[in-house]
Amino acid sequence: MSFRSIVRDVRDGFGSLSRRGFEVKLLGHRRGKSHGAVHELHDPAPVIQSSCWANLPPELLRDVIERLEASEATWPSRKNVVSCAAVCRTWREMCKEIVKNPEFCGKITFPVSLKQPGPRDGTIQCFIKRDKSTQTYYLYLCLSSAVLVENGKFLLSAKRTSRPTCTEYTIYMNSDNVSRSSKMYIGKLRSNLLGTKFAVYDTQPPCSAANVSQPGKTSRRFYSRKVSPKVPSSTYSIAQVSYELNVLGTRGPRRMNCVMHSIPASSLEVGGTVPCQPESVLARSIDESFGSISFSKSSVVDHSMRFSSTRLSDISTSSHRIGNMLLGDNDECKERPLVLRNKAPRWHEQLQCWCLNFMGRVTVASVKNFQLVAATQPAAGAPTSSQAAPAPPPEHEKVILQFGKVAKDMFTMDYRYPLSGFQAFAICLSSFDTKLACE
Amino acid sequence: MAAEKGEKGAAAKEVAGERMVTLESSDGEEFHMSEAAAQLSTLLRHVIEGGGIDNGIPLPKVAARTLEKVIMYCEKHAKAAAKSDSDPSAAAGSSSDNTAAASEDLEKWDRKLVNGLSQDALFDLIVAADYLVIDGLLDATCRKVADMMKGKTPDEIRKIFNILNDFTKEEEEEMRREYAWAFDD
Repeated sequence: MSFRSIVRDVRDGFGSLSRRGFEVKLLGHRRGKSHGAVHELHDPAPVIQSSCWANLPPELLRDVIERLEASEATWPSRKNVVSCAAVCRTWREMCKEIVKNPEFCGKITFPVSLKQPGPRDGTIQCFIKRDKSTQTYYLYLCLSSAVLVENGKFLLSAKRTSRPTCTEYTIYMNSDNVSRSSKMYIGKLRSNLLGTKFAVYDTQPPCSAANVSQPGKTSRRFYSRKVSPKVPSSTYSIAQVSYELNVLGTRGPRRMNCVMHSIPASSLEVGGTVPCQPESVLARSIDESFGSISFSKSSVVDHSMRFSSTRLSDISTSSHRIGNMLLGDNDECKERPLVLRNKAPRWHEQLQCWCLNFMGRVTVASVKNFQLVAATQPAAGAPTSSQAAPAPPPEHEKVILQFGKVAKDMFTMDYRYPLSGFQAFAICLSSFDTKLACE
Repeated sequence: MAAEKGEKGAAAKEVAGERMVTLESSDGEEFHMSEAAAQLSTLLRHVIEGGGIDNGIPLPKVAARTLEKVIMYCEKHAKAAAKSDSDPSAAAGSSSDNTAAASEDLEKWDRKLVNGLSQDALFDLIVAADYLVIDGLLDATCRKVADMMKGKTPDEIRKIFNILNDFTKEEEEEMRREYAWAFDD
């Protein structure tokens, strides 16, 4: 028996030790040729990777990308992970596998992170800057723990527009002011005339069978799309926010009620999750030459046609039904939606004001400040009556969204699971607009 | 173990009191490496323990210039490990500063090794380190590759690594938006 064969046997036997899996590819050895050149093949191969690096064994590529992701944990250097994910398909898939959702790692990495639930442990801390002259609001991720330091990573912007019967905040993924047909448009908030009822719209359907994807699969290809090129884009109502005076009228803090149609109340239970999370932050771009679109689930298209022009009054009376229909036929989704209410402040006799413990994150008293917790009563979809709610169980005391003023035109926003950054931002914007007078 | 001096081509030679192993690169070159250094490779360690390596260990997947670097790395690290083992003050735990400085020096040495490589050589070294299962070397080379990607646009990364952009036009659009957002301060 030759020693070479022994060595070979030993080597093969220890295949599990070595992490390599590839045979030496021809590209790896043609060093002279491969450098900078695309191999010309005469058979009709659709896509050719052009160098040995492109053939780095998956385990090694993963090792490298894992290192990159771990070392670029915070912004601005986290942009390197985004760069990596834009190199080629293989790298993108690898990055998407390695980067955990904010729910589990508490980090924002890709734009889609803003439409995924926040962390289960801890919160994501952000701040909002208001520019009154341009009626624009900018959401940033806090990069330092000091509350008044304006050091952040830009996340979203919102432009406020007044219309005859409502006010609208259109939300974008970029900080330059752009129109609604822009490819950076990701959703909006619309209020009624009085500023007491708001609806949050997402450019993506909250749930479709096609969205229930396995991790790592790029199912976004099969997002349903609205067909008509004349309408700028379809939007899907995902939440309603309503404000009303409390029993003390204008002398007390107002009451907020948020019905989150895209989040089931069960998401807060043990083992609960938020279903149908998107893989991409943007709906497909509007392209009038976009003649044939593949629809994998025509039922979702029907819904989009039905709801894109739903009026607010329709929504408030039939929100429960809408919740069910939007969430499709999936049994799991025929659930009551999550309802958030603002935590009642306590009256501080000595200070003669209403107080909430904002844990140092809100420092200026303002009627706009609030903390949202999950309501424990079953949601009827309609705003609550003024009777006092029973004491909620401990886990529902967790503040899911907190918003408040820290300086002129500057506010902090902290959110956690199961809300996404986009939803949190939209809800906070409603607080700017509501015109309920309050002393 | 008795030294097998004088036997031509014998792998288990002793040189200056150290057991040596002979390795043969893919292009037929012979290299010698101390057994202590070879132990850093899990693969080689098992081959040696398996016995019967008198005629050398062929490594048809590792070229000469790469093997040379591998051996440099292993010898350096094996010596450093031997030094810290034999250092009495280290055993007593009183020279943590020394050991910290020593490991920092070693890291610097590693970085210098990988920094001095061409891209092709780096690629071959990563693959070899993986194949031979030398964790520290794999660590150092992968870290270098990760560093090469930092601060680069996707296009620059593609150029560095000669990777073809295989996204569809629509996907490219999405990448552009994503990228614009990531770099939007």
